[in-house]
Amino acid sequence: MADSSNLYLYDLEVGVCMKHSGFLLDLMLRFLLGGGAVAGCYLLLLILPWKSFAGIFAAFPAVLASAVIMSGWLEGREAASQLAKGATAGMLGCTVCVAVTLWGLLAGIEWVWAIVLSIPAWLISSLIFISLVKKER
Amino acid sequence: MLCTLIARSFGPRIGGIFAAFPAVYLAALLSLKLDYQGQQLVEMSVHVSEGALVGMLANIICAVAASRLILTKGWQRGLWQALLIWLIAATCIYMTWKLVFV
Repeated sequence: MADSSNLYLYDLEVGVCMKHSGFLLDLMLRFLLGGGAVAGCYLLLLILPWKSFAGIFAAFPAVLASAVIMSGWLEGREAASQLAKGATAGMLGCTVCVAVTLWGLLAGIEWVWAIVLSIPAWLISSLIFISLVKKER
Repeated sequence: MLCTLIARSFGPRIGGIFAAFPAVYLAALLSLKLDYQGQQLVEMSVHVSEGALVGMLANIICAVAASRLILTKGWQRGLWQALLIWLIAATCIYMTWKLVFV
C-alpha cells in the first residue's frame, strides 16, 4: 500500500515537473524563435536593397510554431492541428493589424499611435474571424 | 508570456488566436526606434509593414496547411512542411506584387 502511494506521488511529481518544464520550454522557444525572427528581420533590413522583403520575416509565425511544438509534444497531433486551425482566424486578425498600422503610417498618424491602434484592431478582428469560423462549422 | 497564459487558460481554439499574436512584427517595429528617428523611422516602418503584410497573407496559408498537414503527417513533419510553405508563399506573393504593382 505504502509502495503504491509512493508510486502515485512519484507519478504526480513527474507530471508536475513535465508541465513545469513544458511551460519553461514554451517560453524559451518563443523567446528564441521570436528573437531570432526580429534579429533576422533587422539584419536583412541592413543588408538587402529591397527593404520591404525583410519585413516578411517580421511576420514569421514564431508564436504559432512554438505553440504547435508544445501542443504537439504535450497533447498530441489532434490538439496541435486544432490550435493551428484556431490560429487561422488569428492570422487574419494579424493581417488586419498590419494593414491598420500601414494605413496609419501612410495617413500621417503619429508612429506610436499607428502601432497602438493596431492592437485593438488585431483583437477585435481576430474575435470576429473566430466567430465566423465557428459559425461556418 | 501573457499570450502563453491566455492560450493555456482558454483552450486550443481561443489559444489559437493568441498563438497568432503579432509579437515579432510589433517587436520589429519597436526595434526600428533604436536606429531611426522622425521621417526615416516612418519610412522604414512602412517598408517593414509592407513586407509584413505579405508575410501575414502567407501566414494564413501556413496555418491552414499546418492544421491539415499535422493531422496527416504528425506535428513535427507537418509543422516543418507548413513553415516551408510559408516561405515559398511569402516569396511568391512578394515577387508577384513587385512585378505586377510596382
